[in-house]
This record gives sequence, C-alpha cells and structure tokens, in this order.
Amino acid sequence: MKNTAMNSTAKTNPMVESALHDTDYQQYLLNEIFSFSKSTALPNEGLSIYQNNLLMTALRSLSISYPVIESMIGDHALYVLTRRLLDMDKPASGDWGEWGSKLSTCLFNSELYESYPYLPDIANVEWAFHTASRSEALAFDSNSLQRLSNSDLEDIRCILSPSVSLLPSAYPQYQLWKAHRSIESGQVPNNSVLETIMKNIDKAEHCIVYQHNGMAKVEVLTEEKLHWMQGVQEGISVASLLDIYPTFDFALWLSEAISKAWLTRLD
Amino acid sequence: MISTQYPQECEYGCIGVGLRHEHYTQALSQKACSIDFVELHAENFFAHGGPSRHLLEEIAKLYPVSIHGTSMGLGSLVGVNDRYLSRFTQLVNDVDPIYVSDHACFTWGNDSGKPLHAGDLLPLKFDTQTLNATVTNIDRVQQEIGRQLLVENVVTYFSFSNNMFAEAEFLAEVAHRTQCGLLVDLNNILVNLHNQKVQDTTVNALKWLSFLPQEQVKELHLAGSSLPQQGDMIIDDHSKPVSEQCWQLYALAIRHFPKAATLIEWDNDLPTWDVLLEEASKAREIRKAAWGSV
Repeated sequence: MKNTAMNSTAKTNPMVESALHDTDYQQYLLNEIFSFSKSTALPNEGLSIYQNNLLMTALRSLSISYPVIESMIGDHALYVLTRRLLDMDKPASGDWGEWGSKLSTCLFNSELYESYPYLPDIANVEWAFHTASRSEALAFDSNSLQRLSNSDLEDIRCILSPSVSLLPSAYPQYQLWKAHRSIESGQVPNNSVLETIMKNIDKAEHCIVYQHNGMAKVEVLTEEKLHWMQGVQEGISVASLLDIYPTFDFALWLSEAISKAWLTRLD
Repeated sequence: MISTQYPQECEYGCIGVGLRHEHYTQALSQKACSIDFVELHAENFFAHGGPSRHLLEEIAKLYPVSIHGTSMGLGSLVGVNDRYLSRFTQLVNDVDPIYVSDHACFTWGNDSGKPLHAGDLLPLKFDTQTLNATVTNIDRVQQEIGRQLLVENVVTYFSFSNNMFAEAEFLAEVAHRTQCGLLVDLNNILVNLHNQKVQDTTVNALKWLSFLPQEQVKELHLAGSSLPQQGDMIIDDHSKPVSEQCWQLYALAIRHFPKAATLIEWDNDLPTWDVLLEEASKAREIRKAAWGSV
C-alpha cells in the first residue's frame, strides 16, 4: 500500500526534505509550531492550522481557569496574553488544567498593570481557586491533637492542607473577584457595585483559598490571621508563633482551621 | 476504585457517545437507554480530588465508561512522559473502563531540557524509526495499564513525502507487533483524503480500511467537521453532526468490522443531549439495517 493516494498526494516543498529527514523531525516541528511564525521549511497552511489550534486550546484553557480575569479584561486582551504566556511558560504535562500558573506574572509585566495594578492579585486568587478545586481531600488526623497534651508547644507545628493558599493583597481582591465570579459568563457586574469597590480600591484585603467538602472556597483573612498562618506555613512552632503574636487566640483559630479543613495534622 | 459497569453483550458492537461537560447534568439525571457506554477524555479527570472526581464516580455508576486519552502521543520519539503515564494508569486502575484508547501521533518533545507538550495531535512520519518508537511506547503503556490499548488514526494538516509506509500499513504493523487494538476514526480518514485533494474519497477510504487486521479493529469513531471555504483544508473540529459521507462509509465499514464498538464524537458547538443521543440511535439503525439485528 505504499503508493496509495494518500502518499502520492503528500505535499511538501523542497526544503521540507532536508529539515524533515532529520531524525529529530518531531522536535523540529514542535519548535516551528511554538515559534508562531511562518516557516521556510514547512507548508505554511498546515503549520498555521497547528499554530492556531495551539493558541485556541491554550486560550480556552485560560478561560476555564481564569473566568474572572477574562470577564475583567475581555477576550481580545486574554488572547494577547495567551500568546505571551505560551512564550513564557510552555505546556509540559499533557493536562491543560495544570497550565497557566504564570498568568499573574504575565499581567504584572503587561501594559494593563499600570492602569489596573490589582489584576495580578485577582489572577493569583483564581489560580489558587482552580488548583484547590483539583486538590486531593485530606482528612484531618484527629489523633495528632493528642500532641497538645503530650508535647511541649515548642515542638508542635500545624501542617496546612496542600489545597490552602494564603494571598495577601493591597487591593480589595475578594470583592473584585466575587463581583465578577457571581455573574453569568460574558456579563459584567453592575456599575454601582464596581463603583463602590473602586472608591475603596486602596483597601487591603487578604484571602485564604482552600478546599472544603470537595469544593474550593475563598474567604477574607484578617491581617492577624494572615500573619499567623504565614508563620504556620513557614513551619514555625506554635510556641514561637505565640511569642510573636501573644494576643492571638490559638484555641479559637485551631477549632476554625480543623472545621474548615485548613489543617491535615499537628506535627 | 470506582469500577465502571460493563455493558451487556453487544453482539454487533456497542454504541456510545462522547460525554462532555455541557451534558453532565442531563446524562446523570436519568440513564440514557439508547447508548451502551460513554467515552470520557482522560485528562479531564486527572485531578486528585474536587468535583471532577465525584462526577467520575457518578458517571461510572450509571454508564459503562471508555477512557480516551488525548495527550499520550504514542508515536513520540522521546517516549511517553513518565508522570503523564503514571496519572493515566491511576485513572484506568480507578475506573476499570471497558476500553482504553489514545492516538497514533506525537505530542512530546523538549524545551531546554524540560518536557514540552504539543497540546495537539501532531503527524508522524511513517518510517522505521517512528514505527519502532511507537511499538516501544505502546508496549510500555500496555504493560503499565495491564490491558489492551486501542490506537486511533488522526487528522494531519501536512504529511511527509519520505514516508516508508502508508498510514494504514503503519497502523497494521503496529497492531501486529504490539497486539494493541485499533480505533478507526472514519471521519479522520475522510478529512485527510479531502485535505490531500484525493478524488473518490469513499473508494479510497475503503481501500485504506482494507489494510487493517479485521479482528484488531475494536472501535469506530464517527464525527462531523465544519465545512471549509472553497479550496481550504477541513479542520477536524468535531463541531457538526456526522456527515452524510461519514454515515455512508460507516454503513460499509461495519460490514468489515462487525464487532467494533461505535462512538459518536461531538466536542465543540455541542447540540442538546437528545440530539447527540439521536446520532447514536442513527448509528444503531444503520447497523441494524446492515446486519438485521439490534
């Protein structure tokens, strides 16, 4: 079947021969696709289809992971950022759900940042929400609570669930995220809602993102709780944290942290 | 372990549909009796937890499940990525699907020493080097998942003039050397023939099919694509009903592969769940007409 119609009509231009005789023709083709430019060695109609497929799949993936950013900046800007992100951070796992973590950096480096400096923080909230919604649910090891009666607080560390992200911000990131998250895709929030938020745009709002009962959740954290939990995340012992934050209500926080599945155990 | 159910014996091949996000609610509200199984894209269920895991459990309770990979790149010269394969294997072990499949294409390469994934099904050069790599990859995957893998032909937007084998010849050799099964996408054959400006596409498609080992063809995919501008290539976007030409080829192909399962693929611009099920019913009617049996 060597000379089937499919073979006899195969189209390559003369330069394709040398390039594609290379034993590493696959890497060559990948490089040409990710270059997003025309090729001197490959049929450009076919190449541009592969380039467009890649761009559209990546764009669709970002639309799923970052619905709020899409709603805030619009389709066209997201398209431009997708192209830049593919240059900066190429897909590596075969699972598009894992690609896109660096959109926040991309926004920080973009021309949008000067006018909308809160966008990278919103992107961080969205990525944390996306990853929390995919995290494995780990139940709290209640036996580890015995360490509170058996061990010195200097030797006890609280271990955060892998789904937990702590997100400080100088902007009202939660209100901005929520205003856009709670509307239908393709819609924009009510003007009055946005005006109220923008009047207080310099109001810092810190967030925690986590998974609880199989669902990702976002909550505002007080500055006190944020600092405490950043210390927990750094592996500082309970006793040392209480030395730094002597008025912090550890018992109350522990109860909340266990009930909301922020912790997996006490070590 | 989620463990899908197995369908009752389908004497002349089971009929299923690709189950996509937009149809989850309807598909789960009541079991659709007009289909024997659903196909899920593996990567959509790679997450370790959260709603997708719960959804997978619900789907598997109601329908026999086929797991279809879209990223494995079985012809990749650099091999199949270890982490990807480990996650794929975990999913297969969890679900115990009725079929497991992926594509005869390449997807993996390198970017400054790190893995690079193409995000698409890229064309193979049908030469000895690629054949050997494909056989090695499929052997490894079948060892890992502990069962037969079905390998699907893809649409390509250019092909290599220095091929040593024709595509069907290549697939037949792969099946012979690995004992994998074949998943034949009839629409992909027709799209490739159109894009290569071959006349008499149905005749040439049948010629293509005649090179495959009958007993190793385990599944047929049917799909439709957007019509191109005059003279342009067809993009395999799975956004339309199965084309008339594809139905005609199907009616002929099921005589050649009577026990192969049939799957309706529709991935973009999705119709209602009922319209998708009607496509499955149409496949059953054509099969019934061909064999006089349901």
